[in-house]
Amino acid sequence: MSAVGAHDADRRYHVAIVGAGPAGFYAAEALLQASEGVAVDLYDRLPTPYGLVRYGVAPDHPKLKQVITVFRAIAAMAGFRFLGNVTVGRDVSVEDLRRHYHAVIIACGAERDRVLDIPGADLKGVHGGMAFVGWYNGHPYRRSLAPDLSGKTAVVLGLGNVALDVVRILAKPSDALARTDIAAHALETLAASGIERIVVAGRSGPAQARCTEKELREFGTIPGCVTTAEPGHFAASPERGVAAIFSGFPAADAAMGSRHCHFAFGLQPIAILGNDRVSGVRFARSPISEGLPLLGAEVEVDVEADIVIACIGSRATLLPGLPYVGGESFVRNEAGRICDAQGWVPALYAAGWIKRGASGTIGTNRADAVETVGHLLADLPSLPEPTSSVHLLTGAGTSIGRSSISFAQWENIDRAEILGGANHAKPREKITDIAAMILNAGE
Amino acid sequence: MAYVVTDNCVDCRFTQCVAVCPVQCFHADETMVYIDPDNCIDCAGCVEACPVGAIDDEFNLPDDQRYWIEKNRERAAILPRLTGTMDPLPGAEARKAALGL
Repeated sequence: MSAVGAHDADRRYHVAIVGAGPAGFYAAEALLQASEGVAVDLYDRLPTPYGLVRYGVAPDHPKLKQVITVFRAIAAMAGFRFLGNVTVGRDVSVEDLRRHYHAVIIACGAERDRVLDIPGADLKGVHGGMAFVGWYNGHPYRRSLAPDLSGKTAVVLGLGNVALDVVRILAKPSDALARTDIAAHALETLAASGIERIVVAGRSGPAQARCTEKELREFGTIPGCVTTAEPGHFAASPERGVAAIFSGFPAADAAMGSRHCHFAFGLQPIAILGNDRVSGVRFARSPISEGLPLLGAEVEVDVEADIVIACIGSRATLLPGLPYVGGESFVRNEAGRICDAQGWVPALYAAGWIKRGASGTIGTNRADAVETVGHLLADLPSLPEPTSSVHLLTGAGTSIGRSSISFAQWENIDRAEILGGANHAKPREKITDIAAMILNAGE
Repeated sequence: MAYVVTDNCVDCRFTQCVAVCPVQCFHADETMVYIDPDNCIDCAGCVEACPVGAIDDEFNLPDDQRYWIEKNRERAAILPRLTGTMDPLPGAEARKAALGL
């Protein structure tokens, strides 16, 4: 593995960013454009950059992934280094980074599924949405999820865009996914799927669903799949927004396809049913009045399920010692300056989902990172000099120098994936095993 | 299919859209901004960011607004790309109020 070379010694300041997703890249861009002269080391625990653009964006939404062109341009800027395959919190601590850099930006996102805190949630066959998305996108840590899709009925909890991605992947014929960059193991499992019915259960009414119109509209166009929505849930005839799209789906359809996707509202899950594995979900069902759930009038209903995927939000990625708040949704910060009970933790910043919680689109992280970097640049002149050099942490002969993956090495992995995909008419065949990634990274 | 800037941007040009665009696909002239449809990745981030609701999915445009699709393409092709936000045009707040927003 190549040692990390001497790093832009003519730049006055050195900043480490933890997490090479959108927030990390946009923070790097803002720092590298600044007149102060900043060199950036962008760390990721995986040998691969791009975070949720690679492991979150659905394989059948390739247009969104074109944002990678922008990230590649940022990676080519003077003063930029990628240090993949370095796990902050294990290989190096946040405290260590603060000793070697003028400032540290935490941008490692919100990878943990929000816990479905109801009886039975730990039964076999119950999965979190982030975990399921990581599985079909080939995230090395999610390969082992291996969901059992041999049953007939899937229940997806939630009406956000993650839920819609999961439902769409379950609903589409595997032929329609075969030429995407979906992970090979996922394509194989989906091709053998027995799922015929997908119930999408939201707590809210249709108008409060947090998905976007474009994603919802796609459900009218999935080959072989009939989409229906619970009738009687619409205030009047909604003219715009997601409610209008929901109301356009029929209440029932005589001409059923091979798959049926049904949207239902006012359903609060109260228990997962089953003995050794999930067999159903018990909901408190609120009648919907004027498009809103009517509280205090719930009745219990049980819905059959062979697999449950809970897309109910996510919590910040855990790093030891950070001040998590809001049910661990994000770290306490003031416009990006991380604060503990004593106030601002000097030289420590946050950007992206770990700063504001899991919300917004890819580009939201640009404005978010620019805000954080603005404060960082204002603080820079008054920040203490690091007590040790970046070279002593990452240079040849250090453990990071030996094991980290550079951007050039990632580009070798990238080429290997694209070559591997060409055999199957896929844009790439993702390598999903870290050892295999490192093997393909070269020197 | 891309997103399209329409009427309400004229004489406002708040440019909050530019701050949240992941691919910097906005271009501007003296009166408004335009989206380069070949560069837009359909993330929809700008739709919510716009304080005057000027941006929409081209799918949603009523017939009398569809000319904006071609106009965005034509103008974006010849105008400079915006890399950051600008001050709104003078009178932007008044126009926003006049739009009932």
